[in-house]
Amino acid sequence: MNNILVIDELDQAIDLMFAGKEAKPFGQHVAQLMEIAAELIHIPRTDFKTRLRLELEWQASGRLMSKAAPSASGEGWPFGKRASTYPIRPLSFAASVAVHAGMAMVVAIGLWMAGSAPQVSTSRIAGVMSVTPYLSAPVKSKGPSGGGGGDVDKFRASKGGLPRITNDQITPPTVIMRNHRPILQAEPSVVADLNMPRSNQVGDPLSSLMTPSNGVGVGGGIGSGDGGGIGSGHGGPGVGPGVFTAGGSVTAPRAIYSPEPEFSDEARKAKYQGIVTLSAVIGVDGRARDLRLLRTLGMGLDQKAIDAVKTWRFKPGMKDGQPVPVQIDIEVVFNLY
Amino acid sequence: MNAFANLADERLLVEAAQRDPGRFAVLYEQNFDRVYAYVARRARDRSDAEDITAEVFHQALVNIGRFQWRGIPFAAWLLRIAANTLADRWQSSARNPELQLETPAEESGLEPVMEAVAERRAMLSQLVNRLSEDQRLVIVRRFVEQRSIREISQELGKTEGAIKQLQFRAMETLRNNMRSNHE
Repeated sequence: MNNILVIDELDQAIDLMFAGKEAKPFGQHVAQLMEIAAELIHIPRTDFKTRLRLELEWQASGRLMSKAAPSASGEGWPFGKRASTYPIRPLSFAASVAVHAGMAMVVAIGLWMAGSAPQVSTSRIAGVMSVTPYLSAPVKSKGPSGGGGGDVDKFRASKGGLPRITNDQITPPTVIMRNHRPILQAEPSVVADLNMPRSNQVGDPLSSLMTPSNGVGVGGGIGSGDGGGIGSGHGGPGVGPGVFTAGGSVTAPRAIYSPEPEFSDEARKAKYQGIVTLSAVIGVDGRARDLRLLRTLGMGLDQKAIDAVKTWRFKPGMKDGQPVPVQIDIEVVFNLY
Repeated sequence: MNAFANLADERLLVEAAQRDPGRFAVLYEQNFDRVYAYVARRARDRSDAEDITAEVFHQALVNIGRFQWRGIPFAAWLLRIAANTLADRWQSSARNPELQLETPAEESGLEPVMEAVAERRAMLSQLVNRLSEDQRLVIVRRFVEQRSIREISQELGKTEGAIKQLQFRAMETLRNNMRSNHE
């Protein structure tokens, strides 16, 4: 029982450490373990170490060919004492080149007869498959919006809290009520996935103005955007600026942790490969959400791509120095070597 | 504590890598944790630490032919590259001017302390890899990826209590191993 208390106490202390809060005094046992915890957050990721090693191996193999060009002493590659473990004999080398060239020709003829052009992978990642996160050009269609609104007031929206949060808005919120005799009365609400307390004084939480105003936007609601929500977004009954698309002053998110997806057994057996394209919103926390399939492959690879991208971490897109949610397209390449 | 017990062995490894850069992988494995810990101690965040560590090893591989054996551990050469890379980054970044002051810490009394911290982290990183697979996975998810107990339990298909238990046991093992390595 005592042990269970220590285990829980340790977990609470770790959570407090992640939250950057001052930990209350813990028992000696937990305090000792927390010294380890403080160091553990700095250990490297295993996939980073593996990926860097692969990069270095590729770099090393490239160096061998470029650095070992014939030198003045005549000890160069390929017909000298190459700087490696085994010397290369000219006859063997020539035979090897001839055999490989012959094999390449057979493969090329086969592909030509099959009527399909071979795809050359430019990936530098060795292994069964290659994954290339591809951040596309700005998405033309708007993604899920935040919210915005206003009634073309001269003043920007005033500060306040959020009204009731629902999944289906009937009446947009307002600071100044223009219609005092509505035909159908319904409680004002916004559509959002936020954990914010309700407030009697409705307004834009990000505003600093106290003069009551619905804001300079249009379409009802509160803010500088349009639609029935709150904030600077467009077309939505939500809250905030919504989702941006890369381009202009908005930078695209960058994948910083992208472990390889698994290959489904079915696709592996069928030697099936290709590209799955996903649309995703990269939140300010660097995680992908609202994943949608734009181009599918089937054979279980679509789900594998989704599962993988859910584990990826991104450096979020930035606007005016602040991280913002950005919608991007991601290509997950399944390549069999 | 030196990463190599025998400098003569290390010299052979370096000379092999100078003849055949493909052998650099051994030196990389031997020194990765130490270099990463050194860089992470001074970098702004994990992303920066990874960028700089990668740059250090790429530079080391390109320049290994220039390395001259003078009885100084190979790790010292790598750390010198790391220090220079960090200094370049700091100087080119106006965002962290205060960090520029940290560069010459080697001449100050702070450097041995930072070095000891880096050594401890390098050792801890190696000890994590020796944990049982379950424990190692929980530690990586919890501390490196900073996931919640609930997220880990859902991923691994175990109860939250079981994940907390694994976390506790893993940390106890690490603490005991760190102690025994210091003694």
